[in-house]
Amino acid sequence: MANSCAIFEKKGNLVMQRDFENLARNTSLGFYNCCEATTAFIWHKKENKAYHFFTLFSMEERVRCESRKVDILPKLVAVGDELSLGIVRRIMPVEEVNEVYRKLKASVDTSVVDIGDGSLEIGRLEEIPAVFVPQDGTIQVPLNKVLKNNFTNGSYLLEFFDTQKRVNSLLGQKEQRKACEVLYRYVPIDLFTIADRIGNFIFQFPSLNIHIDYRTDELEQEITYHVMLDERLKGRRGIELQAEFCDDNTVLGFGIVELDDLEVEKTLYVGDASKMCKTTIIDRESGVILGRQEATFIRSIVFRAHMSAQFSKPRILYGKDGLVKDTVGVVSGQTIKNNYKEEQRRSEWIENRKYKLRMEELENRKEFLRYGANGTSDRNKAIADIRELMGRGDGNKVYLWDPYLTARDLLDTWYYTKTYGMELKAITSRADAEMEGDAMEKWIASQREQFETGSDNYGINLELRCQWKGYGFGFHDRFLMIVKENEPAEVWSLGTSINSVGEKHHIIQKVSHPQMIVDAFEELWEMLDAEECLVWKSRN
Amino acid sequence: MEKQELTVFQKLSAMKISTGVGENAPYSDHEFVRILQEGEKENDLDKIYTFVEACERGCGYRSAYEMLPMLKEAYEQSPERLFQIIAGKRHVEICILLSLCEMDMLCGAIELGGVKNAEMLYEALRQLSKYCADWTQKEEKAFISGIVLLSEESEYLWIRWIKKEEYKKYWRKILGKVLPRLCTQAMLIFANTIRIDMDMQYHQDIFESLSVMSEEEEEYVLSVIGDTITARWKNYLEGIRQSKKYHKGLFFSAYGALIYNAMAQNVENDQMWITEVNQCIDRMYDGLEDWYTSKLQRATVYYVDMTELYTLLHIGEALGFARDADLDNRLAQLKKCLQRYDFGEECQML
Repeated sequence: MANSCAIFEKKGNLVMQRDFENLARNTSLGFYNCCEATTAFIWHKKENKAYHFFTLFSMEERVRCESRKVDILPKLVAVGDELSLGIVRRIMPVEEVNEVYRKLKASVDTSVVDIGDGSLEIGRLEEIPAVFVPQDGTIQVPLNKVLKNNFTNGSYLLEFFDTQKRVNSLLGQKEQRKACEVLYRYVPIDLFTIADRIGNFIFQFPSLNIHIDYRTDELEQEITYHVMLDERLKGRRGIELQAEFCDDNTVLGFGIVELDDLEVEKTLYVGDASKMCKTTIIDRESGVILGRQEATFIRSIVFRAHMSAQFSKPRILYGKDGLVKDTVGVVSGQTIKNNYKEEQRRSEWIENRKYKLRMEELENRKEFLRYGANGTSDRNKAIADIRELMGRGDGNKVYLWDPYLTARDLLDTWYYTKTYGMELKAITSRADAEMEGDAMEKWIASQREQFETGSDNYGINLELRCQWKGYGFGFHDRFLMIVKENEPAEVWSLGTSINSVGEKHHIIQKVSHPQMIVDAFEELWEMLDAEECLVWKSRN
Repeated sequence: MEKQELTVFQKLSAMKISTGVGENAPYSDHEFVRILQEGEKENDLDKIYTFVEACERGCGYRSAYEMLPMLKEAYEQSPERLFQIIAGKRHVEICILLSLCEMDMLCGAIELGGVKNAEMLYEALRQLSKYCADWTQKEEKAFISGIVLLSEESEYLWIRWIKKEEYKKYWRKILGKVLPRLCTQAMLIFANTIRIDMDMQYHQDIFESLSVMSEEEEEYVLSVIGDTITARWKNYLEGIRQSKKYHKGLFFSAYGALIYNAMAQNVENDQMWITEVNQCIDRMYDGLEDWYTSKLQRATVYYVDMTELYTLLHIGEALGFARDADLDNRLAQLKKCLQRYDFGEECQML
């Protein structure tokens, strides 16, 4: 067993090395004669060390390919106390990049590497075999935000993935954001969005030697491809184009074209060319993808035109005193449509069915729930749904944010979760209520009595804080949040307080930017860390 | 007692034109009158002309039927006295009264220099420009002299004139006759005020107009504004390169002839030209090797660089500069390199 593992590991290394050499020398992809290496690092003044932030090695074919250093950032830019960002760029020959690649391979389990500009502190590196990253089309490819100019046909990548992210332990959230912003200002590498690539080394092999154009016919039944290959590929065999049209998880049309000349124009009858078109060009002999695009064709253009006169009559808003408070310039608008392709009538049926199924799916996954639609109370269903959502906090933390939350509401919902010790942090508010004298103390006492007498609190792990008077900031939010350790949080907007869910029409829906809401809750939670704000905390 | 008849000058002096709007007039009419009142209070010509131009776009001025004969009579008796009276009135009254004047009267006002009132001169020129389709040599001559005088009398009004008239056909057609007659200062103001990126659809008029200049006149104009025009065009292109604002195709300007000749005068010999072309090629490679967030940004920078290269190559050809072998090689290499990108057919001309 040990021997087979050793062979496998050795073979794996050979595969990886072959990947680099295959890609670097693959002339179907490009006639690379140099590499531009851009490295961003964090300089720790006190430790006198450079921590690796990100490096991209972009293989290129240039007319001017002599080795040289390029000035990107003349001075280090401070991103925090003792921490500064630096960027260096070099043009190097392909052979030298090969050496760097080998060096990184040998350094995957070390904590320091020198790729040519001095020692860099790195995390544990995981080698990723070659992946092909297409250009952005109708669908955006997130990884393109950290690659160089991946606009044309796509690129192969070999990557050393930093699984330890030592540099992240140096940088707080604010410092990390600042480092990403500074980097983006000088080089459009967006590590703020693609933060998982911080610390990584990426080798990019762009596909440079083909150029492709395509268009459909009037009836949207055919697609015509015009492909040009670099003249140095004259006589090359085995380059093929595959076209696929997909919709509703079916393949509407398919075709293959052999690219047997430097310039090829071919029309494929695909049946239905109105939907998503996936075009792939491959080199069968070397087994690489030379191009991959997924795009839909523009079928109609709709825009709104607005017009106003030099002095058009404004809308006047009056204050309570009857005087003019504000004016709003009003414009007239017109929708202009260029619908040069006739809509297919079957599309309406298909889209309606997809929409209906999607809504049912959202409801089943409890991402979109509607209550009280027919004027009747759906309280029981709403409470049941809330309990189920809370139950999904199993193994995680749960936050509940509701300005009218009381002990009774939690006894009706949270106390029906089953996981022992599942943590709930809840914030309520008495900012609206008249809290003079000892009224707040009396209210807190009444809530505590309800918690103590409403249950034996077995397995309950909950803390309820209250925002009132000078503590924290007033709010009107109602959110239920499941906060996970290594995954994005899930947050639902409740639309109404727990004490009235389901009684009148409201919607509970999952929000699309959960982390910001979690951050806001945690900020208020910290502000309410005072004895006067503690309503009740379980003993567990 | 005999009733004394007022002279025409007395009547004109005493005459006041009030401006107002009916209560049930639309909102915008009220606003135009308000703007006029503000403009008169602040002595702001822009606001006054907002009202004047609105009237001209609309129903115009409805004046008493005896106004024109009165003005004619006064003009026949003493043009200078007539225009002195008019010049003493509110600017909106000047506009209204001059709008009633015929071409020869306006020429008279211009020849009198607006009776040393630059604002009156401005308005007289503006009114005369409306008759441009009917001009004879006499009107054109008077107009050009008036423009030259205006450019020397008031920098503010000269700038205003250029900005307002730039897109009018008659102005573009007359440029070639105006420019060589301007003083240095006025010409520099012109060079710094025009829309250097004016759309190509106006190019033919300006090209034909500037073609009427004699060699000496062209030399004079370029010696004064050549550097300014070149700097403005280069700054414009550099601004596009920095902003990477979307643009497809080479950059042209309606003032292309002026820009081209201004740039050409700075290239003194073929060595200098070869150096500039090589620098341009280097910049182009810098652009191709740079990082971008989108294909369109890269294309924009390419078109900026290609515009510079195209202009230089054209200048070289026109001036008869010879390419050396090195330059030929570099251009051939560049052409081959550009074929890898999907910019356009421009690289074929290299």
